[in-house]
This record gives sequence, structure tokens and C-alpha cells, in this order.
Amino acid sequence: MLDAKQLEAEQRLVQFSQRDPSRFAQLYDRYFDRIYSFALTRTSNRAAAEDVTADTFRQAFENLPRFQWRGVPFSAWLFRIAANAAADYYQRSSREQVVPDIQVESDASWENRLIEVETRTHLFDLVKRLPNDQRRVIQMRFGEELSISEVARAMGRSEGAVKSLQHRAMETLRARVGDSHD
Amino acid sequence: MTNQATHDKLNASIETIISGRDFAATGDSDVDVLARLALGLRGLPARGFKARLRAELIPGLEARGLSGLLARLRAAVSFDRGTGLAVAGGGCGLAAGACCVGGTVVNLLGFASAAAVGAFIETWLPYFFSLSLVMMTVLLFFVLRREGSGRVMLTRSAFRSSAVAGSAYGVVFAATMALSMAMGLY
Repeated sequence: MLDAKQLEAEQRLVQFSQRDPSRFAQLYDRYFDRIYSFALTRTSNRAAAEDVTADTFRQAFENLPRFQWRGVPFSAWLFRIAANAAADYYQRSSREQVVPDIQVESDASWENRLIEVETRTHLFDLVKRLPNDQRRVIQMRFGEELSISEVARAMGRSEGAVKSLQHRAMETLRARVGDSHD
Repeated sequence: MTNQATHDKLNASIETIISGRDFAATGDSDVDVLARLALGLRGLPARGFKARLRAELIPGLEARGLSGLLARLRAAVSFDRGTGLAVAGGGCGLAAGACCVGGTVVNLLGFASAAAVGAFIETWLPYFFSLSLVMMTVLLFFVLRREGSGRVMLTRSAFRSSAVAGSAYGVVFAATMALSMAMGLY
């Protein structure tokens, strides 16, 4: 949750971005992970999450000049766009194949979803802070979905060494998740 | 259980998770804790996706060379209008006093005597000063060009902008002069 000072700084950043679109990069960098995580919890599918994330930021970028600051975090506006983008995605997909409908969510389920988004965003953030070798393994395994043998080839190591690195990376993540909850 | 066997078990669980299925508990509590954590990593953003989307949204930022660097700097630095004007004005003041600062550094490093540096400053200061005034004029021109129309608004804005940028200019320029005077160079 942003405090009053952070909210004021965010308002300034939004106003700068409205005047100078290149400043939108800062808003993009700040919220990319959260919007992507939100899209992922909505769609449970990487390709769909990428589509929804791209649609969200495209719409936000196009509509930014008309955005009016109402004292709530900018992310609330982005999440609303993302929710609509996810619904649009399912509508488009359902014309091509049968997919489960997105349910209209209650406030409580929105809250749970946002907690899930924050947890996932935090985990993605922890991956970025892993030691270099461990981060590469996790990125290739979960981000690129490469097999152990493909990762081993890319890193020039044996499969056994990569499995060991993978294990160490997961242990590091577990320790850091634990630290951040203490 | 050997380390290798534990690594294999975890890898099998991760393989299941990546393929989109939920993993079944292995009975090894350490492995299962890590596998549950790995569930949260499913769908980790692919490397390059963030950068590609950013390049598509704001193409200038990904440009190479000077224009890309300037665009990235502009995007990274979020001065409000007043701070931006003060920084720019201060920059012009520093340009005016560059020969004083440069001369002081050269003298401190022992590359030139105080007399030689003093003569250099006396000769070149008017040129640096003139250059900085041109820079200030260009700066104010660009600021006012973005302000829109209306004579009253424009006059008011010109006054305010000149006051902010001019004050910063004066302070920085005076500081550079004071520095060279304190060193007995001017």
C-alpha cells in the first residue's frame, strides 16, 4: 500500500508521463511484474498472460492523456484495464474454442487474487536477485521452459550439475521467502 | 538418500509443474516444500518479453547511440518543472565557470602555475560566459515553446522560468568564481 508521500510521487510521475510519453517507461517498469502476475493468475497460461499484459499496457499508454488522477494508486486503473483485457481475451478465445467463462468476482475474491498477485510478483522479484548461475537455471527452466539437458547444453555443464544448481536455487528462494515473511 | 537422488526427485516434480500438471507429493517433505514453491514460478516471464513490449510501446528508448541514451536519460530522470529548470540553469552556470573550475583542477594537479591559469581564465572567461548566455537563451526558448499560447501566461511563465533558472545559474557561476578566487587564481 502506498503512503501519502509515495502517492504524491506517483501522481507526479503520471503527470510527467502525460506530458512526455517517454516517461511512461518508468510506470511500465514499476508495474510490469504485477500486471503480468495478475494476467497469469487470470489466465493460468503464459501465452495468454503475455497477450493480456501487452493489451493492458497498450491501452494504458493510449489512454494515459485522458487519465484523471482521483487519489487512488495508478495500479488500480491498470488492474481494471488488465481485468477487462483478460475478459476480452477469453471472449476472443471462446469464439475459436470452448473455454471456461471468467466469473464476475466478488470483492473478497478480488482481494485474494491481489494477494496471490503480490506473492507471485515477490517470488519473481526474488528470482532476479539469485546468484547469477542459479538465476540462469531458474530462468531457463521456468521462463523458457527448457529441459534439463537443454539447460546443461546452454550452460556447458553436466545434467547432474544443473540439477544440483536448480536444487540450490530453490533452497535459496525458500530461505529468502522465509526471511521476507519474518 | 544421496544428494543426487534428492536432486532427481525435485527435478521430476519441476518437470511435472512445467508441463502444466500439479505435482504429486513425493513423500520427501524437503522436496515437496521446494516443489510447492516451484508452483509459484510456473509462467515466470520469458526473458526478453518485458524488453520487447517496452520497445514496442516506447520505441525511442531502445534506440542505440546518442539518441537512445538521451531518451533513456529523459525517461529515467523525473524532475518536476522547477527542479528541471534549476538543474538546467545550474548547468549553464557551470558552463560559464568551466574555465575557472578547469583551471583550478589543472593548477591543483600541478600542470600549470597559478599565474598561467589566471591569465587563461582572464582571457577565456568572457567567451565561456557568452556561451552560457546563449545556452540559457536556448533553454528558455524551448521551455516557453512548450508552454502554449496567451501573452499574459507566456510573460508570467517567462518571468518565473527566468527567475528559477537564473538564480541557479547565478549561484553556480558565483561558486566557480569564488573557487578560483579562493585559490588565488583570479
